[in-house]
Amino acid sequence: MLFKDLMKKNKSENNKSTYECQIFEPGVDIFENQSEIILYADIPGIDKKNVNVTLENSLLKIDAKVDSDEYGNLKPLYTEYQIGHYHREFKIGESIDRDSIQASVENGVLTLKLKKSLESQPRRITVN
Amino acid sequence: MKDLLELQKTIDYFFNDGQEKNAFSARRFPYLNLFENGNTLVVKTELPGIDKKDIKIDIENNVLTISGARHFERQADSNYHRKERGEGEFKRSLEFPIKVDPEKCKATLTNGVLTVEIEKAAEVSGKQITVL
Repeated sequence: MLFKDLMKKNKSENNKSTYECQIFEPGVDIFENQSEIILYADIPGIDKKNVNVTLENSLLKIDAKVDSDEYGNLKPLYTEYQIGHYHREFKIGESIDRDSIQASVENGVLTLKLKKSLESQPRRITVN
Repeated sequence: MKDLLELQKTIDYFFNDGQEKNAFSARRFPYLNLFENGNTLVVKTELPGIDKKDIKIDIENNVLTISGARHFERQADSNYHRKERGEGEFKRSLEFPIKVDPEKCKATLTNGVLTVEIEKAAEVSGKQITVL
């Protein structure tokens, strides 16, 4: 039993270039205040260079690819969780200022800060 | 009532095999993977968003115990749309199937995954007994 069992690989031994692997839906917290939407996603085991976030037509996509190299020499004795990629999509109702999206990954948590565009922020209008 | 909830969590644990649904989404008992690498045993567990100073690792009587807590900053004047990530204390133990040497142990936290590497105890050399 090798690491590929953890990845639920279904291909034959000699076909190493493409393998099927589990894709998980990361757990998220989403907060919204007057000026921005903040999203936290748990993506343990993913390096920040393998995280891809796209926003297209109000569809926010989060993709995170696991790197299995560190498991190369490890022989599983007892396993409780599986390793795989992460993927999740959200439809965003508010209009977002695309140029000021901030994304960071720290300690296996992705943080996204989506600033609302000015026209969707609440504005107080004084009655004269 | 509290006992009943604990019982439900235990039942969920057995039936949601490998899938984090409700009780385990809080990661109160994080899942562990145990590997072997030559003379070393390697334990991995996913602890995203937890600072290394909030993780405590004990090895006693060949049993590894990992405990700690995850806390989030309160988001001032925000409303939340989703709250799926659990917080609070966690604790998990594992008895090694092979005798280990607690003096030769190393723990690292990378990208929210804790890795504990511990060397197997030196084999007690066999001794031949002569019948007198």
